[in-house]
Amino acid sequence: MHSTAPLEQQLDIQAIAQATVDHERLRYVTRLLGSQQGLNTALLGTLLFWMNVPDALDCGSGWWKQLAWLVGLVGLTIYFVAGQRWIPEYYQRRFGSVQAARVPSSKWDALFFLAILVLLFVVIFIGQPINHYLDPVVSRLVSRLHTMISDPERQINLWPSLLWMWLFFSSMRWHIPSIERQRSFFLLGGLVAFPLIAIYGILHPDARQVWLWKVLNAGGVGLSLVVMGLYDHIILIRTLPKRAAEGDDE
Amino acid sequence: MSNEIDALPTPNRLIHEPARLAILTVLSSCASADFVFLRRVTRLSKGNLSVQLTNLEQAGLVVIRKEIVDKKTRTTVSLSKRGISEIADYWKTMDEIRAQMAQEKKRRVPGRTAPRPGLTPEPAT
Repeated sequence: MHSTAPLEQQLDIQAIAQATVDHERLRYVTRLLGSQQGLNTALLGTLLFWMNVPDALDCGSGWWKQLAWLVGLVGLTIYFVAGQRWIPEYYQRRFGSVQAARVPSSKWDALFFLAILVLLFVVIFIGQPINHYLDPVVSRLVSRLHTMISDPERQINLWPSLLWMWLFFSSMRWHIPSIERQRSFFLLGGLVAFPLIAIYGILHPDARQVWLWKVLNAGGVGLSLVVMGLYDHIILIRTLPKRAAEGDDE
Repeated sequence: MSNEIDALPTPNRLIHEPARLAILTVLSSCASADFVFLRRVTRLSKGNLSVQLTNLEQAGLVVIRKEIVDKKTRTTVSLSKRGISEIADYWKTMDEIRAQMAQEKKRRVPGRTAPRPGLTPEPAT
């Protein structure tokens, strides 16, 4: 479909730039509502927070422990009912409904799969000779990581830091649209904050006596999920404002 | 004056209209969306959205389904096969236009030559 009409009759430069920005917002919000993850994630985070924090505060004995388990069980039931029914209904009532698109497998998925295959091939055929040199290094590294994550004596919880690290780096792409750039900065904030909590605990052993540090350290994953879920939800509220003049009836 | 800049591809006029382009962009990011969401996200009025959806349906770009849920009509819209290929073509055309414009801009900058009359934006009135 080519014509020989002069340029100025065909398009307006600024309109194209403006349209591109707006369409990034449209695509992002549509995908966000299609995933329906905001409130679900926040609820899961609350549940995890509740399950981890009482133990960290040494409240895990006697009637308190039974109550914590009971509340956890009720919370789990609420989480499943809410995830299946209440939250989708709320989203539909408030923002309308979107059926998420099936993501077609991209060339990057194919490349990743190919890389795994090549790695397996390398491990099977030439792994044995280099195993002699690599084994002590890898086992020392794994052991150290394992100790840092789950050593009850040190009580440093690195899972939140790993979670933010994974989220931040998985969101990185060659071109990040402006609306998603805000999310990257938000993830960067978490990526800085949670390792700082862990590092503070490593550098100051006395921190383990402070209840605030204990709560942030033990409930880090739950807290992270609550923060992320609420962030996504706020983005939806801000980008899909309700129009006061008209109802949502069709 | 080069001929290639004059031979720019023309975007599909039906899709290029902002309201319709917004609707199609939303629909290309999901399997289907309902009327309420489309109205919220595109910020169009009910009447305008209805008219645009009817135009797109008549052009064979979208499929509209209506069902009764809790005594209310629920309208769900999705892209038709033709709609999927047309919107993909549209963005391809726009990319080509952008690439040609960038090329033209690059060609003009080194020599600081006067812009071609056709490229000068009209002053805002």
